[in-house]
Amino acid sequence: MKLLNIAFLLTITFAFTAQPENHDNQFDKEIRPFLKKYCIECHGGKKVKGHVNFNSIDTLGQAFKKYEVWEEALELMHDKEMPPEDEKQPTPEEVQMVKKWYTDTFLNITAKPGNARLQRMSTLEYRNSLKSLLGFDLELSFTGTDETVQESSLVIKMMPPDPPGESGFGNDTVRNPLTETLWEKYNFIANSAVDNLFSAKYRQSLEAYTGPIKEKLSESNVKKLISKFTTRAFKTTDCKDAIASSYSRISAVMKASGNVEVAVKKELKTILLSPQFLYKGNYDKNKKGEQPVNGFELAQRLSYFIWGTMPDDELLQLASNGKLNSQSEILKQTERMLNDERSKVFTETFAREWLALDEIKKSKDRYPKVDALYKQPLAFVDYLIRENRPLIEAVDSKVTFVNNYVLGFYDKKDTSKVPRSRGQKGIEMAIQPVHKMELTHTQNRGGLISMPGILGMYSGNRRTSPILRGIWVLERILGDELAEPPMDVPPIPKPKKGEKLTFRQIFERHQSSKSCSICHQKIDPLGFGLENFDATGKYRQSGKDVDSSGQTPDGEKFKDYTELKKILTTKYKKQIIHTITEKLFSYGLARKLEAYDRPTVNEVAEKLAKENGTYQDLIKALVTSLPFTHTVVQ
Amino acid sequence: MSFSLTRRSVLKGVGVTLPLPFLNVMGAVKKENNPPKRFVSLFKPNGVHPPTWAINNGKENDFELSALMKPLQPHKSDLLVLDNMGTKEQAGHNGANFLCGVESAKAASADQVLANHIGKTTALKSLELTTEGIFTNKPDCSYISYDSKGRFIPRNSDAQLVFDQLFRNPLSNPKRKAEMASILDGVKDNANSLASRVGKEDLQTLDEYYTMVRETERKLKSKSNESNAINFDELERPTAGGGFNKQVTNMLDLIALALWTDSTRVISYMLGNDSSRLIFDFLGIKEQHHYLSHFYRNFSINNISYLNKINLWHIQKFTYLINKLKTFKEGDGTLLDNTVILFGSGMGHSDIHSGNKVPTLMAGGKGLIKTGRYVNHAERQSVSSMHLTLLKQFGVNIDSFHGQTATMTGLNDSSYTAFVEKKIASFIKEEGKVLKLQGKLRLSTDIKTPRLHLMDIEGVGTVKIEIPFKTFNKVSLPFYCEKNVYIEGKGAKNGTEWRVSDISKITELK
Repeated sequence: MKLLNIAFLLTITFAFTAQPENHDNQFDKEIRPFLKKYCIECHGGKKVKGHVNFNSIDTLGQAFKKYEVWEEALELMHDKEMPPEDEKQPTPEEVQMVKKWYTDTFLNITAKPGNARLQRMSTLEYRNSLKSLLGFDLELSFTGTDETVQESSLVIKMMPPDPPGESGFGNDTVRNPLTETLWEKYNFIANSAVDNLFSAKYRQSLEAYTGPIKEKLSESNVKKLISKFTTRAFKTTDCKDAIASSYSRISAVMKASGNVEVAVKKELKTILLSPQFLYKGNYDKNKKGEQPVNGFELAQRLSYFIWGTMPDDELLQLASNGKLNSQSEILKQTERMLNDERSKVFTETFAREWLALDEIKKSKDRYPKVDALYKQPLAFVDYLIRENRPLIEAVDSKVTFVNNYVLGFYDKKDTSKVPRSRGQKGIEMAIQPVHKMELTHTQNRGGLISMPGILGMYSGNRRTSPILRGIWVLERILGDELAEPPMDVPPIPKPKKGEKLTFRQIFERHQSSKSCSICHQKIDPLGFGLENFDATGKYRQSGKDVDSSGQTPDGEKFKDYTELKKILTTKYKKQIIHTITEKLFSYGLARKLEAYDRPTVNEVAEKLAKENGTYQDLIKALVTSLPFTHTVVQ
Repeated sequence: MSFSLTRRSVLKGVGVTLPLPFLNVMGAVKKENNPPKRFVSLFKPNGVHPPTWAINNGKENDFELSALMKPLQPHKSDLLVLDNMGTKEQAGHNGANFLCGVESAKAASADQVLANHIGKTTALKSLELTTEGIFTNKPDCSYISYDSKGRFIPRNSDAQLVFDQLFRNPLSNPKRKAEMASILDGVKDNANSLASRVGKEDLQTLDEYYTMVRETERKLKSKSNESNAINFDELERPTAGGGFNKQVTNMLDLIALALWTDSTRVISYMLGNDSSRLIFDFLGIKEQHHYLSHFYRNFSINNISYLNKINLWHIQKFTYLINKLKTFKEGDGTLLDNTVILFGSGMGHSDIHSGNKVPTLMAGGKGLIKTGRYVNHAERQSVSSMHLTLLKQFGVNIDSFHGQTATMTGLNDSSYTAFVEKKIASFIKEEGKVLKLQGKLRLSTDIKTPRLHLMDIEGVGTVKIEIPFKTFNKVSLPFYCEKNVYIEGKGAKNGTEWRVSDISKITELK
């Protein structure tokens, strides 16, 4: 995709910057008729192939929102894949006209921050925020044994898990609105949280707010509690009105000699159910247009990005004093937050969702081994970020993380130094931590793609799945967005009588139909490059039964995984760094990237690729970028 | 529905002194003409040592409870003992065996089918409870309740959480509604103040939020006529900690309370995972339950007495629940009369995981099942058929359950073919090197010799059968116990005493 952008920029000799609004005329008079002539019959007429419906795009505004559709369409047109051979073809002039329109509309645009908006906390953020606020995690009690696992968090146990948003990440909750089920859980948990805070067990946490309590809550206790609890829960010091009305309701009860504790608990529950707690975001509609985000919003963006929880007192203080909005302070805070152990929430959640690691957990293998396979990429991404490794090491590294259960995948000379855990009694396997291991002697490993958990996660029963592996590499590492498979998949031609097909030949039949081959010519040859690893992720030499040769999407041939890896780390290095940049921006901004984010992302990615940038370079670029530090109030 | 709350304890009337950990509504009598029917299933993990469990020579209305069932003696008239349950030679550690009757569920378990029928009007449709975490080596050990697609239904193990969901839920607790309404007033204030600051797009987001608040207010109002309902706030919350035994007792108390308040009508509770790894240290036991349950291969006299101690503890918990339900008066009877408790396991002989003679007891359920009886069918009975029949008794209109369309007689009637011991000609003889014998096979009742099987042969005496574990497992020997069988194998005569040392063939004689 990125190669294409460059190709366009080279072909267009003049580039003029303009805003999309100016082009309404061109869209209506030139682009819509073009679509009608060449595209709509299959994409929006009687048929809607590949889930692409041009009939649903009437105005330029709508077109602009779906920039990824145009990107894909233009690439297919450029490669002469679309319209299909047997259909009416556009003239070179028409193609040139559409390309120019695309470049003007989507490429040569000025970077712009996203619109200011409120966003509901994800389940994970809600759980972490409650923990930060209360000073303890709401836990379930259960009888544990060594061989069993149990979810111990009340919130995680009760709340439905977040489906990933359009960005692919769970913190993007825009499409996951408040529902009745969620609301009931919020009510229940708020109740539970406040009851726990007032229990003897958590007296210390309560007194952290109230100061020492003698016998019963004093007026000063209540004042301190309401003020600090509201400030922290609402993630802003700009909440004097809420504090005042809370306190006035309590003092009415005090004057009437009512039960103060009951009144206070009620107020705390009110706070936990208020949108200021349940949603992130802080802006004022009275100041319109593009502007720096206010300090409290910036504090929230930083803390939810790096800690997955609400800002701490230091961030709130800085925001309150107006000192957070400077590049040097943002970087200083980012470094402090990354060095705090809470940043594990970021490294692990980011790795889990970027790499679709939950797939590993679907394995039917014994759980402690599955757990080891799952923890390997998590620990590796954590290491890349924490030890500030170059971005490209995601696919090529001399370090990995292992325990007893996965040593077999590596050379004995490397694994000999890994600490072994004590043997378990009987047949049971217990969950073990993973340890860092240098890959000095092991060949063909290193980096995410060759991790056994990832290689094995899509395997069928005793066979590899080159297609799903190929899609994973394309989407997660090379950043390609594949269309949905067409609804009218023609049957794969049956082998003729007496014809014996190899594993490879069966898959090659996928490309025998035009509608399949558009994607599969990219997917399959890449997936075959991983045939050097069997269904469980074990390395196997190329030979009579193992054909690991293939070609990259742009047609470069390789004869096995070693050659593929070499191509990825050299020729595709730039594209891989671009993908990681996009993924991290999506995660950090908790939203899908838009066309107007592209100039920022491209600039950052290009700089990082040129300078062989590291993970922390990327993080620093993100937190000081325009979309992170600015917003548009409509 | 009307309740009269009195502080007088009815326990004295029952003649039992029970601890009242948190249940301070004891003695409340609920007057109701047509009390609802309920169903509790209590799962006992890891089978049994069959001779300690089995009832010997019992007749339908004339039987002695077995050694393991002794704690149930006071409730014998409320008990239906089912024998000869299960048709499989071997059953794995699959939770689905218990409430589905199959190794792997493809459809809903009996409790869930029933919940869809009788649970729609209660606060919670059903409760799924357990004592142990998820067994990761084989997750389906950890579930007995399955949804309509055969998927696991998550279980709860925290009595406090269950209590809170039932009685501290601000949306369902009538006495908390006033508080809730005033919380919502405060919440609206805060939302309004936010709404005045944010833009158009966010007003839509906040609109979702307001909708929820309004919906909650509507619900709070619509239920406000339940003013004479029981005061949930007076129910004392179970305490955390206190050890495993205490936690289970708390949960059983809670089950009784949930049923009595009609908060739910269907509850499944696992006293441990199938293949439970629990260590019963409070009984002085240091080995895991599952390890001990393999009493053939891991035999020692300590191990098997520990195992039986654990099995007895399971029965004691069942007894506790029966007792508890009896303390709640309802209508003209007790809560037990309106509740069927199913107690049982997924397997019989716990070393070989035999799939027949699976422990199955029912209690209570007046009008649904006929208690005070020992029902021993002539033929092995399918567990799925039993559930199908029970569901029909509850008025569920279904024709098949996990592939079974045949119902089972004997639950509420005596029109079944009872097991009658058939006398057959018994013999033992050696032909060439093959030893051939015929007669009724039984397992030694002496817990010191749980590997020893016996056959009484006319004119010869008792033949001892002691075979290697491998053969025992291969031929599923416990499947044939208490049956007339023909055996071929190896053995020798030592003086006047025959000993069989291996078995090559075994067939049941009908």
